[in-house]
Amino acid sequence: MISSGRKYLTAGLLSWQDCLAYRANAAIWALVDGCGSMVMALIWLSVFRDRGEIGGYSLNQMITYYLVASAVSLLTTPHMEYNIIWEIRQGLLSGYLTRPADRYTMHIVSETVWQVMKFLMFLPSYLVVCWFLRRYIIITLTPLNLLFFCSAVLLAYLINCGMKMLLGSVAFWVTETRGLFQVLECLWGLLSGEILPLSLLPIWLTVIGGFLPFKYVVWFPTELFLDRVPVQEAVLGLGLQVCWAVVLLVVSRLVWMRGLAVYEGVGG
Amino acid sequence: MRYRKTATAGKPTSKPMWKPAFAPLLKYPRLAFRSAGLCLSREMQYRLHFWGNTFAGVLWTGMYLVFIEVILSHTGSIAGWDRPAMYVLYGTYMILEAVAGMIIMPNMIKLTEYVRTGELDLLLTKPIDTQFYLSVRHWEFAGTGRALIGLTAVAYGLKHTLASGGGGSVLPSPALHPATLASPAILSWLSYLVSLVAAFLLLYALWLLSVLIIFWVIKAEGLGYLFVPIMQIARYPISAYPPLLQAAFRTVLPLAFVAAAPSSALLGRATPAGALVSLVVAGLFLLISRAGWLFALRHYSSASS
Repeated sequence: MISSGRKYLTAGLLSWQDCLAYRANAAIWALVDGCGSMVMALIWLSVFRDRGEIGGYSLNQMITYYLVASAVSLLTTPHMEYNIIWEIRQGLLSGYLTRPADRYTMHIVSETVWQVMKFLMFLPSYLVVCWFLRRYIIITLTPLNLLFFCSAVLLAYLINCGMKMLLGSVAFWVTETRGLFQVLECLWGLLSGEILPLSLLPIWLTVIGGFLPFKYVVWFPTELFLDRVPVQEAVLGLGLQVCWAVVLLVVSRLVWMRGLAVYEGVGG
Repeated sequence: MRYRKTATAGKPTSKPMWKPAFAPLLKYPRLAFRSAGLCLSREMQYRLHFWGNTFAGVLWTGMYLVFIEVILSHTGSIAGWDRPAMYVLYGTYMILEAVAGMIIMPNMIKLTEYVRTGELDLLLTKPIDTQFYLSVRHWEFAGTGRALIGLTAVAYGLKHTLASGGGGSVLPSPALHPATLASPAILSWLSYLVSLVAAFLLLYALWLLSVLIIFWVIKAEGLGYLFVPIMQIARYPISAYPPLLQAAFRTVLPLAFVAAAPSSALLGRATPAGALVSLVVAGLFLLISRAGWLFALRHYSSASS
């Protein structure tokens, strides 16, 4: 167990070295992922002129919502599914399978390291935007809220890992799956609360979103940060996050194993 | 292979066929069309990917429409643009995004790959302008559904603008009087089309300029996507941004000439001269991007062995 942990720690450190070599790339992807929410925050700034509250959000809450949501989204959204389809399509997976490390775990480890690097590269531009919008930012975090928020961010990452591994595993059966990824990314954007706080969406969309895990990856942690969730609901939400994380990680693992059984390596 | 003897075989041809002076230039559009045809047939090999992307494009369009609708349901307008005007703006943006996604984006992404892998070496030896070749080589047609939605949004917005007598009080321009909207309709449409072409050329120039950094920062696969979020700024009225950014979007990063300029032309918010200004701005940035391309090329050191 310890040697296995050390193995993945070493793999993580190697990934970190790799990330350092590609830090410009990390900065670019961070900007690509994070810019959208910033633009929306600016639009709300214009929309709120002469208005005290929209959909239960004050201007300060709305701006803080988008700033926190963009950081949470950037930190908790890995994109290992693209690496997985690349490895399967090019036959590169065959080489990895001969190594004494589980490829499923390796994907999560290397992507986690990449996420940290991406977030670090995003921080300077993020802080500049926060500085410009500083008079709109409200932080009412209590220690309990902070604990809830950090737990929710961690669980959101695990939920996303499960979803993305599951999505990537589809490539064992379907050659070109990027179209499918696009559809899910779109649903993710709308129902996770990245585009809009969920309470502003039409009711029928909110109802559909209630049965899906998306709202627990951005909206729920961000609402916890804004202190808009009562303690009981927060505990319930964290419990549901744990359930979604376990279900998605187990299902994705099973699908991955099943996929390996039908995998036929292409190329050398 | 069978050779069929004909009456003219073996005889010298009487006169060389006359070719117009611009004939050598025809290879440029021909190459673009051939590339488009090849890419379309390749894309059709992956039907699920094609239809998935098409469906996703429609979904993304709908998603941002929900965002705009939610704002409009609470406020009635965004920075002076009421619902019909916003539909014209958003529809115009969607048309441009779809066309840019069809030809500009795939080529810019590939350009970063060519420089990174050293494949650009081979392309530089082709008997055609490399910038042109790299700009029309790859096409992606899956996003064209968004252009149709964009056109529908423009038609819907325009219809309701006319129905409300020119957009109501939120549109302050006197040019929006119903009479002025009805009479110079052809001129408005012409200005719209000219501004749209100018916006496309401007997008190309800006995208290329953003990608040229790859010649110096080799390890940056994502560079081809960098302009995507920047372009999204043009989805909303430029007047909705803080004053400092507005100034930037009208000068150094002229996104005001992307969707807002054609929409203003169509809605009668701008005079036809505005379309000419758009053309001049696009031309200027095309020249800058060409100079940038030639400068970057001089600094290109192949990555291959």
